[in-house]
Amino acid sequence: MDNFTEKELDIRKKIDAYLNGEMTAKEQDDFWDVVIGNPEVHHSLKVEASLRMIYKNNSTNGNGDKATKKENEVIEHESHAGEPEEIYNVTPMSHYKNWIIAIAAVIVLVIGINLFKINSPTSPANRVHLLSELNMISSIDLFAMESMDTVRGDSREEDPFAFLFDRSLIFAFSEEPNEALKMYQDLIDRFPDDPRVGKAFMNAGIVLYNMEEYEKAAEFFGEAIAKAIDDRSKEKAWWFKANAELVDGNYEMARYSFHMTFGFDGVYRREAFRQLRILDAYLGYIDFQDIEPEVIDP
Amino acid sequence: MDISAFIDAIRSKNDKMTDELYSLIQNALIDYLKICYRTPFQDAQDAAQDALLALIEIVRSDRQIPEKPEYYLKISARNAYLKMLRKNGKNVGDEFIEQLQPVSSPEEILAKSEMMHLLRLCITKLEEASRKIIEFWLENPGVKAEAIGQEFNLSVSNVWVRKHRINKQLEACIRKRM
Repeated sequence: MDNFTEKELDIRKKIDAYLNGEMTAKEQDDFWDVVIGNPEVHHSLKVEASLRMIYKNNSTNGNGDKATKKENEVIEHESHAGEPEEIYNVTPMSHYKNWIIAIAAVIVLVIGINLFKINSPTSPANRVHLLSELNMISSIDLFAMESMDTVRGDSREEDPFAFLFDRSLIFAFSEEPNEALKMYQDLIDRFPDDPRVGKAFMNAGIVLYNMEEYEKAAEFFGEAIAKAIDDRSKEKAWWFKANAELVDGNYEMARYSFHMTFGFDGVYRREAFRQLRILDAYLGYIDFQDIEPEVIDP
Repeated sequence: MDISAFIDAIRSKNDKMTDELYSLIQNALIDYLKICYRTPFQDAQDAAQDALLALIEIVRSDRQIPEKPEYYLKISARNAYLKMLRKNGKNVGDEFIEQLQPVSSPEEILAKSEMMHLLRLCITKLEEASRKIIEFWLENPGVKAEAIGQEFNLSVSNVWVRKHRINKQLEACIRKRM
């Protein structure tokens, strides 16, 4: 299927090496001959540079939510390759690999028995401590937004929903959240029965979350759950709903939503479990003493 | 399409194609001067234009075309810029040229804001697996293909194939919308 040549791959590697600063002066000089002589290579170089700048900006302006990110194993891979840049990824990474395996066997039991609050709740001092252990996502990475389909073979002219959806994404990424929200509302009003309308609710929720409208965001995520067409979307919407409720201080609802996220056994399961256990203890469903130490210090 | 297409277009008097390629090559020359010689945009534009007009003149007058036209353009543009500096009273000796160090972050000059906006959109349209690879790649500047292969269970050559395929998708997505 791939109709590209070794030469193209070689150029791709050169672009990477050039932007990584891994070329000698002579190699750089020769590289520019290739760029000047071939507009396609110049286009590729600009695209790669623009991609890098997006991520560079994300890590610089805090959009990636550095504050809540913990050191993750991803960084280990590039310890030899210059200074790593931290970027919060909305998809929880395997921070808790070591402990999660050990306690996986008792998870179902734990969740099952924590339906009622215990009589000896966690002490106030420990409860305050627990709150500080919760990961609060201050903003959701826009890369988590839903999209219509893949790049190939789309015909937007024949699909007004997809056309409007594309435009809404442009507004969202262009830091024009109010315009994006208008467009999502338009999509919701005009196409209430379209099976993809859940994606509009999801993205509107993300935009609202990043505008710090957490209560409203949670409502939109709730609609996204109701309209979701698959488990992946449902899990994601529950996860964001839980986070919106958490940041909004609605701990009981957040606990329930984390519980629901956990139930999907998907990419957010580990982090949802961690949050859930801390909230369990904070809200008095289990005692602080009963919480697994790995949850607090993974 | 490469520089030979530009020369063919000039020879065959295909003005539309000549203009189109002229503009593309000029942009590359401008970036070259801005990055390698820290040339201000206006000067870079003028120097690139001088170099291109000189090449067009050579082709039109049926003179011997340089063996490597891209190299010719690069050196001509650079010399045109140095000439401008001399004209403005700068002492442009070897020492001065050595001091003209390339910028340390060429991506800051090469990146275009419109392209960045579109890329954000285009990334959302990638298949999830592709998106994860490209995000990992970019979130870890300078990361080696070996580490990416380890993360995604791919061979090193497959990493490059995937990266190339993803970039091509993004480039096509941008071209479609620009």
